Amino acid sequence: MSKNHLTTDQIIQGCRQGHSSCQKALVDRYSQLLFTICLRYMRDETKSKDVLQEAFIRIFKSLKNFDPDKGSLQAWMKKITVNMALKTLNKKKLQYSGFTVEINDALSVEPSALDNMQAADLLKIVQSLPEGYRHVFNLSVIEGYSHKEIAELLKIEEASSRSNLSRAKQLLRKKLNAFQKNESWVKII
Amino acid sequence: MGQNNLDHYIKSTLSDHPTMINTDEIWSGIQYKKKNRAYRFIAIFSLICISLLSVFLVRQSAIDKKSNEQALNYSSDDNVNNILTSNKQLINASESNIINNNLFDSSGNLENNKNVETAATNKLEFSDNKTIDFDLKLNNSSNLNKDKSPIETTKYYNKEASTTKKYNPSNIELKKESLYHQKGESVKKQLLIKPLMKSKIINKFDILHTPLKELDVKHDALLMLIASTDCPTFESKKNRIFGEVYSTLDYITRSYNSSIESQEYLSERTSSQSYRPSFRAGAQFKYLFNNGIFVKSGIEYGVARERFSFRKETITTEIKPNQVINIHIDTNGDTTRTLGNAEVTIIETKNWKVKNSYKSFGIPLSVGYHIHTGPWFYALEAGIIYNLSFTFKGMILDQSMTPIEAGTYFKDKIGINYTFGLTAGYHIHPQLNFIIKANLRSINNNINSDINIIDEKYTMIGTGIGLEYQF
Repeated sequence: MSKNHLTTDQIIQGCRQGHSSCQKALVDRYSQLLFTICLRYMRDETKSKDVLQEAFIRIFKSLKNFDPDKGSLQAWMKKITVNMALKTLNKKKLQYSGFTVEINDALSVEPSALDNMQAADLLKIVQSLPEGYRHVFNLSVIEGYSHKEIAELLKIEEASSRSNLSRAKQLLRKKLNAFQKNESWVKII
Repeated sequence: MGQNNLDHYIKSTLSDHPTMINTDEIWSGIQYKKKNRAYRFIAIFSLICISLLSVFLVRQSAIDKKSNEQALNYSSDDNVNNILTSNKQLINASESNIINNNLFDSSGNLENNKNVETAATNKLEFSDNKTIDFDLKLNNSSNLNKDKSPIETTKYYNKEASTTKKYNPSNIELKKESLYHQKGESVKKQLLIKPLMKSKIINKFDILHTPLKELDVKHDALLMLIASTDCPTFESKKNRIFGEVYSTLDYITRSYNSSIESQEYLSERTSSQSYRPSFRAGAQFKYLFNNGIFVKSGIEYGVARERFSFRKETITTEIKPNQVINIHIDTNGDTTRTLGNAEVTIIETKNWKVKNSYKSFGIPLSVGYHIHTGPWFYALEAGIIYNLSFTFKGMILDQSMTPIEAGTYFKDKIGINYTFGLTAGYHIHPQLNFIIKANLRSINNNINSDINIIDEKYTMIGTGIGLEYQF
């Protein structure tokens, strides 16, 4: 039986017993998925790899506490990776906007703008958001956290979380429209 | 596209989007970090140990210093005063002869010494070639004036009388003997004075240059002072050789590794083998250099023990003839049994409970650092153990999940292992130390032979006691 044919349960069991072959199988299976998460938060590839390695070390350590009845392994690992990324980011003093920004509904994105867009392009556009906005956007839109949870995670006010999200969305639309028009979207802030 | 649709699109696109990455690079990075963390843990742990040890040593040193000062004060105050007051009737000349004959004329102080005779003479030779003669003065009680009471006589002599010895504080034994005569009765009291530690006699030797007259009774006090005063050691700074025997009680931690295909077998192996208290014993020689560094080597025997428990249930089904397949009881109470071929399930259960042992015999070679303070010493050491033999006795599961006596599943020799230890010792005798050890031995090589598909390693972590003899 090759390691690609191992079931998730077998991998979990092997990792709990400290078998390096199972740990390697877990890394092979999930590192690409978790690396995207790291890239969304960290932007820098080297730092993202670092966070990913730290996250896997934490995962190996905490696997004995993982309860499959409470959710899938993938969701649990994603959560650990997000927490690890935030922990790394919290070491830096991030500035979050404290004022509310009105959403300009007139600025909408043409569906055609997304037709030719690859996931990698979208990732780059999300990565290009300013740090404070990007974290709130990731946590809210992709991870599905509420503003209250985001406020606790990032140690900010709920109002700040809302305003950062609004600003992030507005910026993202601008960038997507620029992308559609083949204009430079990187410098749009 | 509305905001909600955009959010949904971004989430569905990015949440499960894999980004290409070299997983081997990530894996090697994880391994590197894990190893670094282990080293960091050891470094921090060692630092904490060293810090605690340093604090303890400084405290111990302060306590020793204080007690030395107290002892010195006590000696100089109490002994001198006691002797000065109690020896007013003492024959003073007994002390004067203690001084080097080359410097003093003993007859000058013998004014009350008519009743005294010299019984023995001991000599103490000092490093500066000065010699003190210990004249043992015995009171000739027949010549004493019994009307005077009480009369007290004090005598001092070396432990080994009538011999000339190189100065060694442990050989000095001062004896104060008091003889009281009162109304025809004589009471003899003896006070044996042993030096607490090594004497500062050389430092006090200046008093020898004091004019004889001034010495007088004070000399008695000087001897007392000599006997009970702490001082720096006179041990020569030579390299020293120690012999050490020890035994430790160990806890075993194991680590296994196997191929993916062997996961089930490994799982059965680990669940069937459990730890039992293990031990090690050894005898080693230690060569201590003047700078505190030492090298140590000898033999070490270790037994890692475990319990093998396994329960095997075999279920077999077969068709057997002449089996009761129906029982009918009619209204009259008659019973009719119907026999025929029937499927019979046989459940056979076997239990194994075996005590396994992994015996190893090797030559340790370690280097360490030795700190000495007062009666205590502490040592930190690290080294290797070259394994000469490794034997397994007991049972384990083979790959078909059947217990077997699997001596061939293990190697005969397991190469070089690592050892790390901390030792604290206490001088219970000038040449004998009692030691307490905390020691770790890592069997970092795979102990399984090629027949076995499992990689197995273990570490013995133990504490123990021993004795160290200084040659």
